[in-house]
Amino acid sequence: MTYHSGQDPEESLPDWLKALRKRQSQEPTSPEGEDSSAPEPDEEEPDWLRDIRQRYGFPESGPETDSHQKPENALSDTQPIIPSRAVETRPNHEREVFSQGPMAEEPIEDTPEQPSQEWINEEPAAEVPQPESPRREFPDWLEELGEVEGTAIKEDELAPHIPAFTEGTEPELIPGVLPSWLEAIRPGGAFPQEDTRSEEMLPSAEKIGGPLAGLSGVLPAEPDAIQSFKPPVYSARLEVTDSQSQHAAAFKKMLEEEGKPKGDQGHQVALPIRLINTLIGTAIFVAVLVPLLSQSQLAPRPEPDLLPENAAVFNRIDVLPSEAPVLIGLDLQPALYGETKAAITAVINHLLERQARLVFISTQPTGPGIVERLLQEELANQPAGAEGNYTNLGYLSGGMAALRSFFSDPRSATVSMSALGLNPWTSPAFDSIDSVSDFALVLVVSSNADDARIWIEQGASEFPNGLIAITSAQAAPLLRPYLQGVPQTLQGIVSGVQGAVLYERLRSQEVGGGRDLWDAYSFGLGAILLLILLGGLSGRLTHMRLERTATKITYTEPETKPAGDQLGN
Amino acid sequence: MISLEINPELLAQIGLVIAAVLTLITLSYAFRDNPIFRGVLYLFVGVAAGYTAAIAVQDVVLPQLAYPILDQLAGTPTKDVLDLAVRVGLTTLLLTKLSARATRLGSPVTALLVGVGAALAIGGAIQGTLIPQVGAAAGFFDVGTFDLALQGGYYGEGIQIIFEGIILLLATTSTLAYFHFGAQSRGKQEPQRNIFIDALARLGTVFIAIALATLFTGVLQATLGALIERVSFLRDVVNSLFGLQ
Amino acid sequence: MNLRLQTPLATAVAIAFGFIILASLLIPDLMDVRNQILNWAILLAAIALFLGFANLFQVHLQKLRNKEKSAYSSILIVAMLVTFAITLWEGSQGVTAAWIFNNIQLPIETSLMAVLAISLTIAAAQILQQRKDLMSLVFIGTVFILILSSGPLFGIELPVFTRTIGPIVNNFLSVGALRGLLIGVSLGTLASGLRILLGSDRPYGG
Repeated sequence: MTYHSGQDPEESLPDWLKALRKRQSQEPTSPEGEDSSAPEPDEEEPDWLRDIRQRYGFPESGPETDSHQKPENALSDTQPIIPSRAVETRPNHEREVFSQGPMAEEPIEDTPEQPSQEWINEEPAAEVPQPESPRREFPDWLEELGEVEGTAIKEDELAPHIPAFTEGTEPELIPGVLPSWLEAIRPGGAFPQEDTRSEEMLPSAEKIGGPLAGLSGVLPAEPDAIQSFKPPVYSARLEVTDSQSQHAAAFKKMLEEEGKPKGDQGHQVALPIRLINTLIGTAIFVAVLVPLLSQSQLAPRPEPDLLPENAAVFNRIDVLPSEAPVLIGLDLQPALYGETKAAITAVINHLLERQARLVFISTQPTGPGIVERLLQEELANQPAGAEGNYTNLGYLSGGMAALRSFFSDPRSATVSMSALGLNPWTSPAFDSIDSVSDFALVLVVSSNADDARIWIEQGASEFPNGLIAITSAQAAPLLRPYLQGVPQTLQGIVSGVQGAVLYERLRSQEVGGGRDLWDAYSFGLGAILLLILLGGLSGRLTHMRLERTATKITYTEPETKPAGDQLGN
Repeated sequence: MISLEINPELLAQIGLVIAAVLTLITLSYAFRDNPIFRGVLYLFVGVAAGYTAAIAVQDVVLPQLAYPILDQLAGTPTKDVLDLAVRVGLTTLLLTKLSARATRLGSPVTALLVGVGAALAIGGAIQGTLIPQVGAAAGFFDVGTFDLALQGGYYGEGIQIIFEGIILLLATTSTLAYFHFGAQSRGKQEPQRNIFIDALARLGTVFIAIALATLFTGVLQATLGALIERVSFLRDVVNSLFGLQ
Repeated sequence: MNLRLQTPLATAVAIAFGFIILASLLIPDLMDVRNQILNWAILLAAIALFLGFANLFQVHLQKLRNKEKSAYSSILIVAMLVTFAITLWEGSQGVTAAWIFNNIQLPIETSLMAVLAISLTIAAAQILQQRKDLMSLVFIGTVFILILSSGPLFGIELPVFTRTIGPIVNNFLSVGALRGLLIGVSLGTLASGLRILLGSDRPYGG
């Protein structure tokens, strides 16, 4: 709070402060032994006050007050501080007068309004040991007030406080108005006449709001320096389009369903659909059963040049020397054993006819069992098969890792034959085999493309003589690109029933497992084609009929009421 | 080995009948789902799981772990002690996967399997598929044969070579472009692929449809072959049981 | 061991062993180390197979205790235990084990695949009912052509399909697209493998 010359300081006070002062002025004096006549100075004197004291020689507060520091009244420092003149050469009586100024006679209530006057009313007679202060030169105006009676101020004590004005000689202090004596001692020109405060600091300045509203002389906190407005909220929402939302929802649903265990519930189908399904199933079953029962051979076998990859396998095997070791990887799932049985039988028969030494291995647990069944049931008529002129290394656990290990060093691979204490590598048939590349031919039998692809990828660099595959019809399409690879990683494929029939024809076999199935295969495919065609057409016609019906309903015009009948009703 | 004291031929006949009955029950699912089929399904799962686990234990776990431990304890070691200790440690950690509380202890072991598998897959994919297939895609334009065809005056064959090369390369690149989903952001509008890539991807739709149709037909042929084999089996069983042809 | 340490430990194991295997493909001197690691992997793969069996047993035993589909679960458990015991005792080449495989597992598994032929036919017949866009039309048209070129239908061969159109589609159009798919699959395998070896992807529960 600053004091503006020419302005009542009280007017600059905020309303709450004014009200507090007024209330305190109405409060009774404290009953505790406070000496109202004795001013109760603050324990810590403000610097400016001390400065004035020192400059003009006014004593500081007395020892009683030093030792008996009365607690400061509340808001005592809010009262306007009215300094007193430092009078050191007054006669005693004048000093008494000064000391018994109106402030002395009128008991200075220890009120918050005038706490600073307490130091004015202290006992003038009490000679309080004062700290040393240098002798000062008194201004002329002070000397005009009276002669100095030669009472030199003791060097070690200052003159007691003399009130700045006496009773009756000066009017009562008006808050906000400088008394004449104060005005008189005011150095000329020291205080600016004008208010050098910026317009923004003036209490009348507009736009002062917020917590500092009503206070004067404060730096405005708005609008430029600090804006007390709510900061803008930036949306953190991701902008997505409708189609992106739909895709995300579908993807989320897929992921959620992935973790949920699928219920083991029966699938109930509506009766008409069940009827159609029954008819389709029966039609296919009959189409397959009739040729099997009749054992007809109506369907012509495919030409040898139709599938060049078949011919490539035939040519590769046909040039094998006698006793050539052939590695056969049987990674066949039992589910498709029935379909590939004919092709496997045809090829292995060819190998046995060439007197090849067959070595079987499998990365499927069911592989060794299938090998045994194949050799004991399908190849029982082959002398080599019947005599057991083959080696079943057994099951190679580990999938890709096991194959890699086997291709690197077949003798140290963990196969079940050696695991059972039967070391096949001690057989004379394996004297010449130290690595996979020592085999004259490597053949992989698989029911799906992934198993065959693992053999191709892991053994690409280990088979200098190439790799051929006997697969199910479902794996052949994905393996055909490897036939054209650069470098070529697959030399030939025999796949499915068609491959078996063709291979038997290449070997000039009139009968065989493939031929037995060929007619049923032909009729079954024909039935499937017809059923797909009929089903598609009927579905399309039904759909079109429904669309037409829906269109008719949509375009039916509502009945319009006549404006009025002819009878005037 | 234990063998049942039953006439092998009788055993075989019983087996054939059981197999035929199971085949018929399974084929009945094509017409209608029924509880007997579900029971056969659970029977299959149990038999398959038990067979596979027994093979794995008998052919790998026992000879590679159990017997070497017994040999080591008996004083006739067949494997290096450190190697055996590592195997025992890894197996023990992997077996903690059975417990829900201690399952995380087996994570390093599964991490080993995953890391080894990933490395082998990378090597195989590059060496066995990527290089040969990219080489094949780049070698569509058989320049040597085309040159020979031109020199010999076989202009038709030369054009055919060029045409085949273009179509095959287009099929490969458009299929790969179909799976390219990089697109530039356009603010609030839906992102859009580069116009050239988009056109190639639309063409790729056709080729992918052809490829999927080829795969579908292959599966259809395979399953038809399996059906024919099963029906043939039933025919043989009936013939065998009733002394027919 | 503090279970929280498992995550970085598992990742470190995957990366370390993966890089050793990868390096051994290029550095022949590391072949012995690779084979040793692969032997461990083979054993662990068999253990994992057994763990799957044990987990299946646990699940169905729990269902049995909760009387949830108890009849089916009891069939499964009995079949599982009997087959396991017999095959473990006799070996896969044993008489009884081979009998179980040949007369129970093989017929059921093959029959399940056979049923698929009817299901696929029904699905193909309904394709044009469900959707009528370019992809569906090309799909069903190609299926028609390939079936016609698979061989004689009802004993009648159509040379225009079996000798001309069929080879064009099989060896020409579809091979190009399938080559693209194979390249894409191998690139995806490469990316997935590198993500695992660099620790970005941790499918092992780390």
